[in-house]
Amino acid sequence: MKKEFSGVWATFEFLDDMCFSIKEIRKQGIEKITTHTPCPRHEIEHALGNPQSRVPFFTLFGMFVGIGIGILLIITMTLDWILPVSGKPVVSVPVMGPILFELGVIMAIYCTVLGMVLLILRDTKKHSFPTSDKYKNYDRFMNDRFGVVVPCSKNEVDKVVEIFKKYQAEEVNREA
Amino acid sequence: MSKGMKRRDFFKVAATSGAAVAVVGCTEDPVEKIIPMLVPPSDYVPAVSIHFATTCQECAANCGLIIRTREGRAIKAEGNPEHPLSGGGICAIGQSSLQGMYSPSRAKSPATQNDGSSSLIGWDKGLGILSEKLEATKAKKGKVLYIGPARSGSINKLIDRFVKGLGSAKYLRFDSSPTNSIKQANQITFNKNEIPDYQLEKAKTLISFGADFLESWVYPVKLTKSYTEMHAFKHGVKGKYYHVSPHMSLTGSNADEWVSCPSGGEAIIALGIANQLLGKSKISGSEKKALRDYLEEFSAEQVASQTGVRTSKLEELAKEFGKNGKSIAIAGGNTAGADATQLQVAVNILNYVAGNIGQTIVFGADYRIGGDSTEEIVQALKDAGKYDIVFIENVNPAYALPQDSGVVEALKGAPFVVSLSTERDETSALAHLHLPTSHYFESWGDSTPRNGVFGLQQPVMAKLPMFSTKEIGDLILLAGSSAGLSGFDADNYQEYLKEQWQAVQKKMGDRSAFQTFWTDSLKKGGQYRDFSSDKVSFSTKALKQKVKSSLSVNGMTLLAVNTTLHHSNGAAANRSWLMEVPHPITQIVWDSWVEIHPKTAVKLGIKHGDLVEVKTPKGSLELAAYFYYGIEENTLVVPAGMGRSVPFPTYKSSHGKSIITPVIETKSDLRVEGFKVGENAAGVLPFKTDAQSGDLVFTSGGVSIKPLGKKAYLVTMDGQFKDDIEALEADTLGLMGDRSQKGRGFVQTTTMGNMLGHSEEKAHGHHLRHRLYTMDRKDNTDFYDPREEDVAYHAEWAGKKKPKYYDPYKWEMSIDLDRCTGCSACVVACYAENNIPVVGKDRNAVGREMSWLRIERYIEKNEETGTPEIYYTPEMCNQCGNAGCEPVCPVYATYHNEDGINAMIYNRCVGTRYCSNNCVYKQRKYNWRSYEFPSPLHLQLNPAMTVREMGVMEKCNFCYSRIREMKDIAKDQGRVVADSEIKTACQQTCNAKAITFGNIMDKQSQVNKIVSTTKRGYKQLEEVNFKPSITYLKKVKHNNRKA
Amino acid sequence: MSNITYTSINEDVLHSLKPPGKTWWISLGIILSALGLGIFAWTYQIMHGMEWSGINHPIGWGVYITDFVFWIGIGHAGTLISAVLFLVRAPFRTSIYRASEAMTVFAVMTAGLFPIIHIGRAWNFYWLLPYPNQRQLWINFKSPLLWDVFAVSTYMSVSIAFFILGLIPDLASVRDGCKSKLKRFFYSIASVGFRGTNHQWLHYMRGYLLFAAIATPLVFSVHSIVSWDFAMSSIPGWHTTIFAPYFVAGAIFSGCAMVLTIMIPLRVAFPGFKEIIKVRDLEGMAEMILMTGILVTYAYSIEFFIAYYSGAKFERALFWFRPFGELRYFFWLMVFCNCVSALPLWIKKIRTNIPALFFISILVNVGMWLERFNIVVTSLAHDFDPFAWSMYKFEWVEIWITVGSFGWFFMWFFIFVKIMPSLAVAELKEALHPPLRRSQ
Repeated sequence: MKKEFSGVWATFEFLDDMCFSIKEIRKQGIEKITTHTPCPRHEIEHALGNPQSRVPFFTLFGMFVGIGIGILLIITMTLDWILPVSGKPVVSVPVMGPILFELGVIMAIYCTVLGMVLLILRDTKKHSFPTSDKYKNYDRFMNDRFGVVVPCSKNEVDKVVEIFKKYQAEEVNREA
Repeated sequence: MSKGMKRRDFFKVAATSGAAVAVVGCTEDPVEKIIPMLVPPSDYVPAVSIHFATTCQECAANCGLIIRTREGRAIKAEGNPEHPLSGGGICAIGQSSLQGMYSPSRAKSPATQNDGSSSLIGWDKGLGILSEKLEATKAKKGKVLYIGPARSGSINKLIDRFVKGLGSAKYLRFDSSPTNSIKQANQITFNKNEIPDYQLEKAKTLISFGADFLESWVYPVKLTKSYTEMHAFKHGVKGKYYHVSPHMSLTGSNADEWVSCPSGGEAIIALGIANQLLGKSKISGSEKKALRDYLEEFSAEQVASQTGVRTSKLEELAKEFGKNGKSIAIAGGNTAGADATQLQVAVNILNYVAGNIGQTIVFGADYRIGGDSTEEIVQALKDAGKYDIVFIENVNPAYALPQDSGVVEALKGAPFVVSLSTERDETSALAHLHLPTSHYFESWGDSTPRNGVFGLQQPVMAKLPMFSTKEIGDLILLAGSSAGLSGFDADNYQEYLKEQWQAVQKKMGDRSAFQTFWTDSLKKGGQYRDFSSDKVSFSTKALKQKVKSSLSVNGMTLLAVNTTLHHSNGAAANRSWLMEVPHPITQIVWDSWVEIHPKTAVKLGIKHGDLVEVKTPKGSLELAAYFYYGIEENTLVVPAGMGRSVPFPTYKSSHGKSIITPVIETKSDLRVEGFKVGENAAGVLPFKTDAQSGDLVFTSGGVSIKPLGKKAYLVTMDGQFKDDIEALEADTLGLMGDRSQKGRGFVQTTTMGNMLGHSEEKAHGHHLRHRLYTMDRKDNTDFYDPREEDVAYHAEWAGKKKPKYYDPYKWEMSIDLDRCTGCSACVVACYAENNIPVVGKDRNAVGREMSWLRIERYIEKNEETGTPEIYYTPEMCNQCGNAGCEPVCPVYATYHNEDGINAMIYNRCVGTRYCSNNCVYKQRKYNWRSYEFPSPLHLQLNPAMTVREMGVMEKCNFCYSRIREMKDIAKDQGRVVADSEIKTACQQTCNAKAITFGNIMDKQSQVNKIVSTTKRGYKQLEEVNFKPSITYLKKVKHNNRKA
Repeated sequence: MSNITYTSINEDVLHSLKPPGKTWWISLGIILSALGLGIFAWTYQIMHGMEWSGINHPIGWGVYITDFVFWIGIGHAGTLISAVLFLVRAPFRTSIYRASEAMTVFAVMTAGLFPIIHIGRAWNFYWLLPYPNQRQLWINFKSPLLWDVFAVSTYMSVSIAFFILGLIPDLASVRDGCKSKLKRFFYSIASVGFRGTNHQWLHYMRGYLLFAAIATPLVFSVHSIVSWDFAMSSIPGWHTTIFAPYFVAGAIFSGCAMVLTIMIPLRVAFPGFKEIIKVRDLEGMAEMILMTGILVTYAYSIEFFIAYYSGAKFERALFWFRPFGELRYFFWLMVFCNCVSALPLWIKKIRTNIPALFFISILVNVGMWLERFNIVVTSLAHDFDPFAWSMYKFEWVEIWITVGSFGWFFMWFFIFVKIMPSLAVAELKEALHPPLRRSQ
């Protein structure tokens, strides 16, 4: 667990309440917000100012690696023991196609997974979370509640709580 | 476990061959004398094959053999090139002689038998019983009967002396095939009781009146050779061959035209032709007059009215036959019928009128073919009861003679019957005492098939360990001396034989020391020289006997015919190879059948493949009906020499079971059991013999046939008898189906006209490659760079020295379809050479056959004559340059090797079967299971070939083991393999010399010459562009009559 | 969708994970015994050889390859629905894609067995992989079969990854939903600590999109490659350029049918699913079937036309053989199932009638199996050499193994519906109108 957490976390029944409160909080200059939602909603992304994911670069990289491996594999293996078949050239380019494609795909997929995991871990590291059991065992985030976690210094807490109250948060917990 | 399978087989072979090497040293034969061989080895070297020259005893023609042995085991029989009769090739039955040697139904050791129960006894006891019998007989000067196989050679003299010594005795040689009629007729017409030398090669026209000279008639191997000499297209010449017979046998199917005639009509036609030729024949004076009087009643019209052969056809025949001495007519065989001698006389007259006597038919050779008169033998056997001892040696009259000859009963009633046969067969089962003789591969002997040919038969290997047998020669010597007869003191038959050969040396006028002569004879397999021809004169007493048409009127006529795989004496009828190899015409395996003309059948409400009952006056057979246009409408044909019990593994089969009930086969289910294959046709014939010669008659009149209302379990290997026939080409008469090649051009034909450039070759519906495909290469010849260049380029890229392609070898083959007669000897040879398992009827039925080489048979209908035209083509792996099988194998189990062979690596194969699917020639065979080689047949396995385990693909590899062996030898001598040093098994055995094999890179090689010079060459399915390395040569036809 | 709320979805899904009842156990029993037959038959085949399957010379491929292509085809619909329809945002996707994706995974798992079953020396199957060995023997990259090895293995791992990826959030919601400690422990491991934070959702959704984008061409490539097993050869009836699209269409055809065959009983089994898997969704599937069915019919007719138009006697003979030869019954049955039986779907009444849909989907499955059988067997039975033509006769082992393969497939599916949410909770919620105070 990371450093001692200080801040507020609240749960909402309604999506729009939450979005407004997030906008409001960001106006206060607090950017490091974490939300919990049962499913991805674009409203939240907008509220958080549309952050972008870097996963595609991993995918692209993977594709190239795969194709590279493919070419290497085929050429070295066919030249290792020269067994001509059916009048075709020993190293024949057209027949590589399917295998290169498949290898490209599989490496791309693996790298995508890898990328996702790494990026998620990185982001999670950047942010800090409440340490109370109440937060840990709260089991409606994946069901029907929207949650917001706002880490902030003691003096900001009240302000944040204010905002949450204003937008009728279901419950507001301050942890400091 | 399947690996275990293979290893066990290997050990079997290894161990037993090891034993053999040991055994060779400790037989009773003097060792230094068993060694002499064609290729004398410095010493026994394992994995080097040693060849022995010996003589084939399958029939009385006694062709010369070369037996290839490995580690002291005979593994392959081949023709002896030096022998005048075989001249290098042998027939299918000769090839199968190895299975006779290693037959699971061989008698293990002496046995006594009384009414069915037999008990094994040792040799001492057996000989003891025999000798006291002999002494008793000798004491009271009793009667002795000795029936032996038809053969020539010193043994005859010995046996004769032996039996005569015991008392009043008869020594008869039994051979069911009708040959005495020939001798008899020659006696009548030319006062010469002999079988002459038929020199077909000298003839321009050949007419065969039913004589199956390519199958079983007199000396088929030699005749096949000389027939192809005469009939195959060479230097713009090609003889004509007419076959006049009620049945178009394999021989008949090779004819340029088959003239159908009712059974028994041949003689009349022969005389009819003679009648027309008489006019311009050289014969003059009283003789001519006598002939004219004799022949006048055989005018074309009368003959036509009696036989139904059109007069125009008779005139054509006469015209073709009048070649003043350059033609030949032959007759006989099983179809000759009741008046065999009469027919022979008629044909003799024809030949005489045409002036062929002394030209193409030369007397003085005196072929010792066939046995004594069957009539006489049957008489002797009938009163077997009167004889004190009856010896029967290696013949099977109980099987081969019709049931109503009463032989079996007579033998049962005989006081004491001694069987000296190698196998346990129907006759030896009737004997009181069975003393098994060794197979002729294990024995000494000699033969004189004709004047001037002295064949020597030497043991090619030690006697099989698990069988305690004695050579017939030794046995007779023992018996003779134990009976206290004089002249039986030679300490073994080999010594006796040497004495005899002193005389041979004198005959040959050889001055050298006997030992050198003897060794030389052993190496050559005998001593050969030409015979001096005798002049013969026509005796008009031949004209005394009136030839009347003996056309049987009541009911249909049944013919029991021999084929290349079935012989009426049944000796080979329990060899699985001959059962497994499809009959060339019908393509039926593991069964006998009845051929019937579709028209007749449909009249009788019979469909192809129905089970029918064939009723002769003396019995009936239940057989499968096989529709065949090559048969006279009132005739039925059944193969002779079937219906014996074949020892075979008891593989489980799902035949007739529901498709969801499991068929589970455990190790314990696998035994070797004999079971009856087909029906013995001769058995149900009414026992009849030719009045003048006593030849057994293989035809029966008054035959009826009726459907039994169910399908027979008939297994044919041609994929074409299906109801998916392409409607347009189909002959749906009685569901007969379409056996044509549907314009796929596997067999292509051309005509004399085209060959001599008179007329234009009509396109065969095949385009040339470059018209079908766009070519990538600049020179617009092909898609890809030539193999050798491409490999060299990539090898250099990979920094390798090897591989080097087509340097110096690329093996190719050419097959001359104008020579191939379809006899299928090559197929048997392939089985023998490559350890191909025999799979049995049930597995053949579901397409599990393993043969690497098959004779494809196509039947096209000749629009003009309506008669069928049958084409044969040997089909084996084409070793393609752009093979379809190679690129699809995921594991490189098959690839194109440096010698241009489409190599198959069994150990690497995982068994996807994709290669087989993608082979357009369908030449790959898959091991659906591990097959058994029932002991002692496994000893015949060729150690140079892997025994394939279940789950791997296999196929023809141009006998790569032979290539390998020869290449090694050449390498040791620091040279390249010379042309025709390597012969593939199929090529070696081919009597027609249809197959040529060699290194195409060698400009001087025979195959290169043929491929580069021929005008008839073509590749099968060229448009698929697999680049096969087998070049087929088109069949040449005399005229454009073509289906 | 008024009566459906985030909570109700959760409840429905959790309901489907309740301990199984009697019917479930009984049907599992049947399934396992079917599997048993298959295992027995295969064991015997490995020990004894390929004898008791109808394949022969020259028909080197038969029921096994037919099954292989059949199951791969089934698989495709799943990926198609989850990936392609995801990209095109098809409305009827969300409710059915989880189950059909599961179907994909299990179908590919089944299909993957058949290449091993059909090779003669199954114990050497690993020789098809480029693994380093003492003889430095490698594999033949020119062989379509090898492309198959790569394609199928890729497809398998991708679809499994895709499947699991989609499951994570739902497993998380199950985790939060379930009471017992043990279950909670299991699911919290399975759902790798997913709590629906915005960071997680961000990368997750992007990754998921990429998966879909890659899986789409993969689907097409895989079945094209499978079709090249045939099209790359020289055999009339196989050697055709139309095969790739033709096979893909066929795959989708059979796949969609299989989806219906599975969904409809699922709806019956779990009443809660009724309002989630709406008739509209099934109708969407039916429309897919209708379209692909017509594509397939087109492919058939084109094959015949080309055979006639090419003038190649081999092709012509084969395409005479198929409808009129001795295997004609298979052909005409196939034509009925694939070309005729789907046509009633033009009528909305039938399209929306559940029993009718179920019946048709079964017919289509049968028909597609027969299609593969026709392609594989008839072509080989009647190729270049008339002398080698042959006939196919089924044998017990191949039948038992085919039965077993269904057992294998349904075993996994039955286990799946009980331990994993067979509906995509998160995506369903996403599709819902979110709870808003001020409905704008």
